[in-house]
Amino acid sequence: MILLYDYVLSGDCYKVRLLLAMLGLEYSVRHVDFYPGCEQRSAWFLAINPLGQLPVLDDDGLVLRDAHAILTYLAVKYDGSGQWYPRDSAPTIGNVAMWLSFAQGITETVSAARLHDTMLSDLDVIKARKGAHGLFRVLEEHLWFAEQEGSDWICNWSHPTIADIACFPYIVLSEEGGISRQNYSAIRRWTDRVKNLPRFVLAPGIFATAPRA
Amino acid sequence: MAEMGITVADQAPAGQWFPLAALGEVTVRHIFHTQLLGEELAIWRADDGFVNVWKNRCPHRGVRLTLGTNSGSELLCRYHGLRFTSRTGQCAFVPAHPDRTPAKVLCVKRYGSMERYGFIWATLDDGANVYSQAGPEDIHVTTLRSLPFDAPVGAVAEALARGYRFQPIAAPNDAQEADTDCAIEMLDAFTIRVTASHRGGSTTVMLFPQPVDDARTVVHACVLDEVPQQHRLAVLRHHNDCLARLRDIVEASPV
Amino acid sequence: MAQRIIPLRSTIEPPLLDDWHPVADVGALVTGRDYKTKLFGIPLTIAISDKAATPAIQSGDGGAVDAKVKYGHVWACLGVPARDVVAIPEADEPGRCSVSGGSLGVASSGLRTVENFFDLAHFPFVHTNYLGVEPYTQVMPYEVVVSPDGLRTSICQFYQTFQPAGAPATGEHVSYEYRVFRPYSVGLFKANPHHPERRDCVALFVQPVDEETCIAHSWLAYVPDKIERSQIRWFMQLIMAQDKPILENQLPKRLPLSLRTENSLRCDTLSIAYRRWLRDLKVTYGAIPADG
Repeated sequence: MILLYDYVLSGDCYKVRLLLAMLGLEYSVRHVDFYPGCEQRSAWFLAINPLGQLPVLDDDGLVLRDAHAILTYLAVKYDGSGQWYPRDSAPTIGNVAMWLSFAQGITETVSAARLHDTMLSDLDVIKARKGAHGLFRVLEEHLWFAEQEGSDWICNWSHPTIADIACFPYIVLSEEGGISRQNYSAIRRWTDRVKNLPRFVLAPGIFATAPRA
Repeated sequence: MAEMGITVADQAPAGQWFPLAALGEVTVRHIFHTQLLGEELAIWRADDGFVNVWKNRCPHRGVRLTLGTNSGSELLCRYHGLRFTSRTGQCAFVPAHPDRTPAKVLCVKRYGSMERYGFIWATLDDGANVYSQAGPEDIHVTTLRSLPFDAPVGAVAEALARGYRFQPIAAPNDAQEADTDCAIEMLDAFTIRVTASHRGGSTTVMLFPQPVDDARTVVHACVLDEVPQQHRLAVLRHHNDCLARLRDIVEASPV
Repeated sequence: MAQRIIPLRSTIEPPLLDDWHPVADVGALVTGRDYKTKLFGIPLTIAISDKAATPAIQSGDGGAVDAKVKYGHVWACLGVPARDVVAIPEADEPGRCSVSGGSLGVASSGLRTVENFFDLAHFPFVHTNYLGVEPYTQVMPYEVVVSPDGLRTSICQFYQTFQPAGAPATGEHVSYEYRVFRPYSVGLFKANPHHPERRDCVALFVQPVDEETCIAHSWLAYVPDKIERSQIRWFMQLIMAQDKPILENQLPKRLPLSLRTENSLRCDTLSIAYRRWLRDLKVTYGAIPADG
């Protein structure tokens, strides 16, 4: 049985909730009062994850922290199609890893700005926003050319992967940190495509888009 | 732009038409978000092909329409689900009062728009015709990637007019900058034509800096020709790189 | 006696200046650590020496600020308090439980945030499957009474569906009463599911950080039952986080008080009354005045 240590407003937790839904997996949730309770710093949680971070996944005793590690594990263990994390060759594995790292950069900039504006964290929000726009420019150009080459997804293949899941939450919540997506038109089209994936689930602050014609 | 059949007032935003998006950017069941001279716009294509350019604000409680949904015939506001009809902008349905006809005053502000030369054009001029589609006389262009600049339109237009350089399609891959002549003409404050000539031939590119607001610009561009399929990606990348290099220079310059 | 603060006072109108405003969730304060925030653009530093004591508040110019603790929050008054902190009789009943939802920053005027709280028509669209769902979108007429205690509605009815675990979806009409206590404080009252003769209260105490930014402090006072506090907090934060992008995408950011700026619907009875009430109180902070 899968147990997810979860916080409702965490984008990293939403990455895992999203893939769990897309894989059609059942799971139970242990709410952790990240804000304002700071429960991730409590003794009982630090015993599970000494880094004091969410999400944590417990799959029948196998405990993993780190959203991207959890996405990788779930895709390898449960995705019979192999499409969410293709690992048939070194180039494909490298490509996914590259964009998972990019998603980490999104967390460090876009998510930081959101923590500042929404959860009143004390950090350099100007620097976070500037960093976010720098990454958005890179992703915008990348997605635009991917569209020209006939791909709708970040890794430039014919199907989405965990790289799309890893990038999606904080990008689509970027405005909560004062980062507008106006004139990032390829990113905006991509977020619509992610929302139209089968078994897509929402998180608070994200809204459904129109189904494709 | 006189030869393109559009009357444009030099340097005067009132009555000026601006391209806002290549046709391929305004996709089905999607809402395109941009801004012109400080006015935010929601651009959406109905299923019958009609392209709506609307003020990005619901007339009920002011929520941005770009947060909403394009159903193919209506734009639904996210807040209370009000439905606004394509072409007219009129509210057709208020879910909170399903048995009542919505008041006429519940209408989204629309802007004159047209499809020409591969782009959606719009004007903030209130007197403009609401919409016209491209006719058979429309010339064939290949639209390039639009690039946002964190710089005011004057600085961007000046930089483009001063130094946009590129290689024509006919030039070999190893062509040097020195082997190519670039002739630049500023047709008006928002339209720049650049023709690059090499021994093998020449290519003309149109550049259209769109003033987003006081500090930002989007540069739209197109090749005045249909680029052969085998060259298309290379041409797109080439101009993307040329514009991105110019952007680095413009953004690094003091305002 | 706390020192009165002089700078920037001229920009804050007396109904707001001489009133109490929430500035922190008590649970967010840590003994020995300063908590920094802003009220009407004025920086405040809040400190507690021990959990039982009233926090001390210093303003940006070093002057002290009147402080009180009530309903799980620290309240500050920058002027001379003309009256006490908001009073919620249901919350004052003995034996009540309470939980704060957590303070969330919202990039919008606090007055917009209050108005969104008492809006019913958005439930099926913004809080889909939680507070409402299509096609049950109709808002039935209700009335508003104005008194020295603020605004109060008659019973507002709305159809909500829910799905008990392992059972088919069902629906019922829920009845809400709204009270706007102060320009920046509002409460929703509904019958407790297990003790229908008593009412639970969800309050939203809004802290105006500046005219276009606020902090929304939500708080629930309820009759004790078996529901987990973590579950309550999860739900409160979910609802607030669903409203946040709506508020942050409303233009203009400040609340227009003129009836001509935005087009109201019949379901906006309380919104119209609220804007008129703010005009009558001569409240302009966070608003676009009717003649502006």
